[in-house]
Amino acid sequence: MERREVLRWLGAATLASCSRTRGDERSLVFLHQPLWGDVAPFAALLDEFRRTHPDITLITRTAPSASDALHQYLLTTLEGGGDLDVVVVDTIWVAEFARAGWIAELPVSPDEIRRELVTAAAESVIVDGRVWALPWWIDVGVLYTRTDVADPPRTFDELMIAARRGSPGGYLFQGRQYEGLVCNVYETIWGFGGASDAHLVLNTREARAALSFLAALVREGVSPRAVTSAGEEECRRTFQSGRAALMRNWPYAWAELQHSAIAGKVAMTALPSYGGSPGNGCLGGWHLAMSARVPKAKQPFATALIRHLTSEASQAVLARAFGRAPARRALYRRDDLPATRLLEGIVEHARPRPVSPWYPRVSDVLQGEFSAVVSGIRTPSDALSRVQKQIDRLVGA
Amino acid sequence: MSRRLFAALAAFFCAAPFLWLVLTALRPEAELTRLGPPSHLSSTAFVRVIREQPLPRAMLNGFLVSACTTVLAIALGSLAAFSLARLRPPGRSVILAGALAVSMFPPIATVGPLYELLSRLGLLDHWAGLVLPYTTFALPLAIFLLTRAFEDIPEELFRAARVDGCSPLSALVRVHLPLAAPSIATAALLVFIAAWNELLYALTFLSTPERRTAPVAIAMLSSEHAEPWGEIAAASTLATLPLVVLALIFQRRIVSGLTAGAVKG
Amino acid sequence: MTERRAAISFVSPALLALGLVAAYPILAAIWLSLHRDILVFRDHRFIGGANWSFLLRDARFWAALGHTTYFVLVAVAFELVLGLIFALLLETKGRGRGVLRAAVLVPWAVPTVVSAKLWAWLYDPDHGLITHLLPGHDVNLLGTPLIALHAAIVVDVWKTTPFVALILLAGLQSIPDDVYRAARIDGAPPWTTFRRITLPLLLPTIAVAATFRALDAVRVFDAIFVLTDGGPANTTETLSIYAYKTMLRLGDFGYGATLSVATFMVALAIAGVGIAAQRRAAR
Repeated sequence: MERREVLRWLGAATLASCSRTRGDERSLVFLHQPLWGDVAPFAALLDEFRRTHPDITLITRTAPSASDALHQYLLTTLEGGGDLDVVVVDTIWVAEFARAGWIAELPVSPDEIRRELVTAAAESVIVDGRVWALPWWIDVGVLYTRTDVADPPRTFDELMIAARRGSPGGYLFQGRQYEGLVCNVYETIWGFGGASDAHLVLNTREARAALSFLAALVREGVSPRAVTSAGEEECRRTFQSGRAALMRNWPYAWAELQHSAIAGKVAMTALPSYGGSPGNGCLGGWHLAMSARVPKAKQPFATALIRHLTSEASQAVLARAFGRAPARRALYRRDDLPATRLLEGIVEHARPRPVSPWYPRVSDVLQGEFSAVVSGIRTPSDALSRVQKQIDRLVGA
Repeated sequence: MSRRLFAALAAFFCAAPFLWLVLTALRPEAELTRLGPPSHLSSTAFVRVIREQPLPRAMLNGFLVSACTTVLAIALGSLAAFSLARLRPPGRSVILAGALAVSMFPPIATVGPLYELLSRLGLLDHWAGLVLPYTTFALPLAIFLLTRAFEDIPEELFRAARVDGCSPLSALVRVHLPLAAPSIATAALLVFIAAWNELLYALTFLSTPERRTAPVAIAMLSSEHAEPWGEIAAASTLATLPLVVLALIFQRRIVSGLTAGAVKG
Repeated sequence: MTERRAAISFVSPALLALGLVAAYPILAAIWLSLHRDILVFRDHRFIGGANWSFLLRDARFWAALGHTTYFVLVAVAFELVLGLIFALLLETKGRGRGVLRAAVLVPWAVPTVVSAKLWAWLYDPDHGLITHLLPGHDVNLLGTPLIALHAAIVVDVWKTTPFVALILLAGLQSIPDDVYRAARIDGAPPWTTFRRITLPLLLPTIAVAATFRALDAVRVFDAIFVLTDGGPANTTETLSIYAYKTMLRLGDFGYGATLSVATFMVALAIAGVGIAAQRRAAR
């Protein structure tokens, strides 16, 4: 088996079939995840692009909505030469995809986006001084507090006290073995003053403190055992039914909570930290990138689509209609977007996970070890030394 | 009397979990998390699953894949089985041992190279691309069942047909296939059900939501963040009902087929 | 067409399919396991046995092997015992037999994905029926490291006991009646009849059932993928799951191939043991 053949393994050579139009030089294929709710505002944005660019046909395709499934799909399609032109990518995939040569550098200057976008969002798309994607909408880890039970805690100590004493009590976080857990752990590490650079050194004092803290939460019952298999939705539903005092989650839950029995009794604030300054929430969200296989003639159109969908007007539409937090700083100061306004102070403290092509592989290691600590079967120092050993082998070998 | 009790317990153990699933599918959404009997039966979950998720499409894809697999597996299997039973090719025992070995393969071991193969044939992300591996892995079962069936037909019939001037092929088609029809029907049923239920290959080789088969659609059923249990239950019920109905109608056949296929091994 | 030519040509299409789709991938996987092949980094070179020597040192592999072995032993043991009970119940004539036979086929007909989802719903820590029926509060079966694997075993037992029961039933039915008649004439009590006569005669069938089930259990993927995706803390990660994640989530095809071939070798070992056991039991 020659080398090229082996790499072609992953080619998803999707043949034209009777139910799907194949892209060609006259059309632009845009892959995105389904948007939930009334899709009319989004369709209007796409139609606007069609109007201003009549020379090219815009074809949209729906991607699997689960992050892992989408990653696998992109891994196979972009490698094997499918016909995708513009794709959504998770914030943590940009460095990996850039390194693999699946997405193309965009003709955007790093200074421009550093100026206009939320800092963390800009940093997550700049690799080696070049811009590889434009942030479409972002997410940031936040703390939800039942204001009728406690004041939003600023320090970890206050968090423990509020969760222990409150009625209802308890602090919910995502402890299942998946990427969400890694977000929660990074936020805690940052809360203890730790760093997380692309050099991926994790066996640090702050990391040990962070893992001990999370393990103690579960062991002492401050967080219910159910968190060890909980994701965002499980936490939200428990919190929404009034069974917990505090929850770490993403901003999407805010809209849901407004329709529930505890509406008006909830505050959304920055996460706590050890010292009391606003904690760093993990940066989440999705970016738009251009496939590396787009021919030169089509590239301006692809770039135009990406710019159009990430423009201030489009992001305002997304914020209003779908509750998506925009990546542009300016939108957090507007008065006509009250839900976005709530995140104004919090978004500037967002921090991306390591922007490194190794990150997805490292994350797989982290997920297993962090899950072991949170469920109480491994000590933090054991887990971290195992993590470091595995990362060193991955990166160094 | 205690026998009756054990039998009832056994039947309960087997059927109750599935019935709980069907009940969940019929619950009105607001009562999804309650444990008592529902106030009324609601079909919203089913409607939602049919309208908003590509489940009908997935079931159609699954049906196409399973039907083609069954036809191919029975065709190739009958030819091979007839040869092994009556024509005695050289290396007969090696062939049988090889077929047995194939039925032991862990599918994960073949996923990568099969991916490349399907990619080269241009069959990735297409239901037809699944037929190839499904048929291949159904062959051992089909060959075992049908070899036995053909061996049970008296050899004199074959000899007589040859004397009458039949070619081996027409002897197969005109004489043996009709006589082995019950076993063929059984083999077809087992192959169809196995193909319908398969997950790993379907998960790896299909990616676009509209191309999926039923098991993949159910595994991937999700809305933005949640596990929509009502819809999962409805989709699962829909995807399973045809099989359960088939299994109940053809009970005796299935039982005899499974036992014959296994004990022979 | 002569019979000899027909013999070969009739069997060829099947052999071609088996060779192309089954034999070739296994050989290709073995070849690939000798390479370092990581997709993202465009890294593809021959490294000989380095993947294999890492495999021997890989704690995660040994853990996966351990989980798989435990799963196989416990699941198959339960399935044999329960299957035997079901088979005995199915054998005796009675009015309930038709109902039992129909009920027994339900788990068999249900796709593995659906059976996993169904039990995941029963195990749900917030709303699952089992969570509510169990004593204590804050029960979370799928999220507790030592328990999750057993929860997965229950799913496998539920799904495949019918298959085992049917095989054992065939074995029971093939024991000639004269044997029982002789025992009855001698006045032997039922338990002794069972232990001294039925069980030994049934051993070959039990060996066959155990081998088939063990081979299936070694390859277990669907149920665990849907139920826990290998968690919590990789404590339900079996060989197939580890191989799948390595290949398709991490894009590491060289090491993934190594893991796949290792799984195949374990399956071969089980088949070997099973065939030997069946031969011994049959004599």
